[in-house]
Amino acid sequence: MSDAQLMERPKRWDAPFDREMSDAVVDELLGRPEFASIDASRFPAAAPLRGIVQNDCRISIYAPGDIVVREGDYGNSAFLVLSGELRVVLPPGLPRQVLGRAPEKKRNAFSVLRDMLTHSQFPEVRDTSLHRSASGLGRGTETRDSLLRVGDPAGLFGPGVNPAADPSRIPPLAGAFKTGTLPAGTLFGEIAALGRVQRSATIYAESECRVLEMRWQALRDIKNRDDTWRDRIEKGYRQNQLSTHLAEHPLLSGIDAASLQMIADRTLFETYGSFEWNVGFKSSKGGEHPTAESEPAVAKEGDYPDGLLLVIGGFGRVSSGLGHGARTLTYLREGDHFGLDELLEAWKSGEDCAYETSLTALGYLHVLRIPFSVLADLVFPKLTRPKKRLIDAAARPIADDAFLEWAVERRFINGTKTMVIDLEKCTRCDDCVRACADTHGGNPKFIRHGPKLGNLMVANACMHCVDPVCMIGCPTGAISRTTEGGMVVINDISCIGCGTCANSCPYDNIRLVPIREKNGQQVLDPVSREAIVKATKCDLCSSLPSGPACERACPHDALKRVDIQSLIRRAAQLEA
Amino acid sequence: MRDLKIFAAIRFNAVKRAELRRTWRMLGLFWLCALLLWAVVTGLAWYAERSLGNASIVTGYALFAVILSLAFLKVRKRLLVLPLGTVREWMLGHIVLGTVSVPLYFQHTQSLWPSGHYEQVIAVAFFAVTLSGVAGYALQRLLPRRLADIEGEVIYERIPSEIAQVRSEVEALVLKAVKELGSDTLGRYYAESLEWFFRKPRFIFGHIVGSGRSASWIRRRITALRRYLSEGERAYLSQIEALALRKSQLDAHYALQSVLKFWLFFHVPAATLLVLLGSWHLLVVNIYAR
Repeated sequence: MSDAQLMERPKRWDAPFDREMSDAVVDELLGRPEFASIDASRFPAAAPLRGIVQNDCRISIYAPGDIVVREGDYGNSAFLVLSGELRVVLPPGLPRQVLGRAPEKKRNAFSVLRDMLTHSQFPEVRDTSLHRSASGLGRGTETRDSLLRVGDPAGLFGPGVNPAADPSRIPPLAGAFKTGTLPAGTLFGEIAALGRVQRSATIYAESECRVLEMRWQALRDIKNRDDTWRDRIEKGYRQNQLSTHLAEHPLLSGIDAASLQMIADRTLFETYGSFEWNVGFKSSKGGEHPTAESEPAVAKEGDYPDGLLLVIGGFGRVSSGLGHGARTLTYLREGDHFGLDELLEAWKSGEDCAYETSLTALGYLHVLRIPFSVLADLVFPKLTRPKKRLIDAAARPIADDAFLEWAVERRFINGTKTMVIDLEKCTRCDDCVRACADTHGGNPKFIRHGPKLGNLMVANACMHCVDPVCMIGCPTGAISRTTEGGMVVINDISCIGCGTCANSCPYDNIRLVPIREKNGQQVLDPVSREAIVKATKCDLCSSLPSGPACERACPHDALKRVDIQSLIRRAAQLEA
Repeated sequence: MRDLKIFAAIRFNAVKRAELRRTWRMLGLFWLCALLLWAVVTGLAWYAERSLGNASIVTGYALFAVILSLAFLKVRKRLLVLPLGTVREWMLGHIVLGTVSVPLYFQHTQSLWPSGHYEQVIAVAFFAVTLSGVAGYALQRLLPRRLADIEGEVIYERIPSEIAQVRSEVEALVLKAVKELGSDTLGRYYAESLEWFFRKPRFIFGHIVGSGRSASWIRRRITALRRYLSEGERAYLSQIEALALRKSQLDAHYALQSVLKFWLFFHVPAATLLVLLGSWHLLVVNIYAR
């Protein structure tokens, strides 16, 4: 075994959230009412409650004015207020410049150039000293954005107000901002952490606060084993989604606050399908993918609607019967709605009007159902009738369905940066693969191969999905979204090579690679003598100033990183 | 709500048209710059001649500068991190400058075939680069469309292992048929005739020119055998025929991708040789001009 190096196989808590979590702090936390009520015996020995609190949580102190979470950020953790008071800024929120978005750390051209010229001749070389110590994940010296450091305090707090006058408390924001208080004991950020979506509001410390930050894995484990936490999370999830989505939905834009509250009181929150849809999807690979008929039905063609459905998460397939099957007309995602055409018709004519199309859940679908009576009283009188109906899509030639059916069936609609290659332009020169390898230490992060429809091929490169199911099972939080841009990236240091993400990815876009020392020796586990592996995938060259190298390298404009929905919208605009 | 003109979008027609417009705009700009460059060089050469100077010095330097710029495409491909435009833009510039280099060459040499031996070697290198460039451009426009029409896509380096896989599947089928049905007709025919086809890529030229020889060879061989087989053996033969067609697709990929890869093995060395010969020519001319 002279050509191999030994390294203990990485484990879940090798890289804890905070190395400074002492036993005394853990005892204190476990003694708090939020944790004391949890039955610790329901946790497995491999991931006990104490271990979760010790390793997947950390305590942060926020000074008055410090921003804890920013609207629009992607986050992988939830927060529990231990002491002090926080304030949430409700929509429309703070101006972008106030949020002081710090750019992600980008490497300069020369550092990339140096790496390119000096990269190892061996594949997948790592500095294992970093992995052994995992010290790169300590708390470090974080700098926080603060409302005290904004350029124009008068625009935020009102003229003449000095936000730093009282060091123990920040003054209230000007009257133009709608805010709410989050006292000690409040749990927040769980929607973004568990739902893999952007933070919906900005939250800052009003007084000095002590906040427990929990990795989403901790939240998931506790939620799965404790009913009180599950109820609490689901209640908060429902309430926050409801108010935010109703306030922001364009259909309800002209509605006053009192009416919105009335709508909220009567609105139902519904979930269809499975949140972990990828499991069934993957097992059907190579065989038949689910069709509209086999998917969980939300609304059926011919049934009578009782309310308007607003999509707030997941994907839905709109279909209509054709011959002996169902034809996909379009798909819906967050922000879209279903049933408006029929309900408006019914309201105008005073007669029942059946659904013209069906809606099924593609994986999972979160919807809000606003009852017809509420719409008739509060919304329809102010609503302009849309120019197009969903069923109009059925007028297109059947032959034109192929791409949409394919993209929906294979869930490519999930991708925001899908690598689509036009095979009629691609000369198979592999310049894209070489460019990727050059910018990643000689290791290409994708395979120029994948499913093909006509002249289009979706290559095996991470699509940076709207719903990144690869993040679901990661035990260490190594796979996460970047704060800005929401790209899905893997922290190589905390990745333990368990393969959960690779197994979860419905598109086989994550690979596990055996790592090597700089001298080319393979790194082995000292006990099992098996190779130490790490998950690897396209990071969209997020650390490069120039963007994805693959796209820039294509001499024939054949390779594009596309959001299929944006492409559809752009095409529609251009056609118009 | 998503616009219901989705059918237009999914065919990417509108987006394609927009991209095409962008490409044409860029090409227009490159052509304008190239024509401007050519006009300046022509003007300077004319001025040099009127001033009793040597116009070929002006055109020679211009031609050498253009050739060097063309060679920089290769460098640009490796230094992607530098913010100097996309490789696509460089490629368009490469095509335009390459075209401009032809009139510049004739302005410089004043003939198709120069008189000096060394200059003739340079001319050969220049024609080799130019002609291979034109051929490469045409191949890159034509062959990808042919490749896209073939069912399935395969990475070039994987083709030998895919062929080996198909071969082992066919051989397993033949052995099974012989064992199961007790007749060696299929086995004998495979050894005599079909094994040749499955051994390595065949009908390379036919695939390159798109003659369909491979498919007709398979059809003839399969038809010729069918009459001697029992019902059971015919079922196996149908499976072998499907695998033969799969092999034919792999051969087509191999042939077309080989052409797309290997024309560069001619163009790039010829270009390197041209740069070296041109540099020496420049050096020699400058030394003797003094």
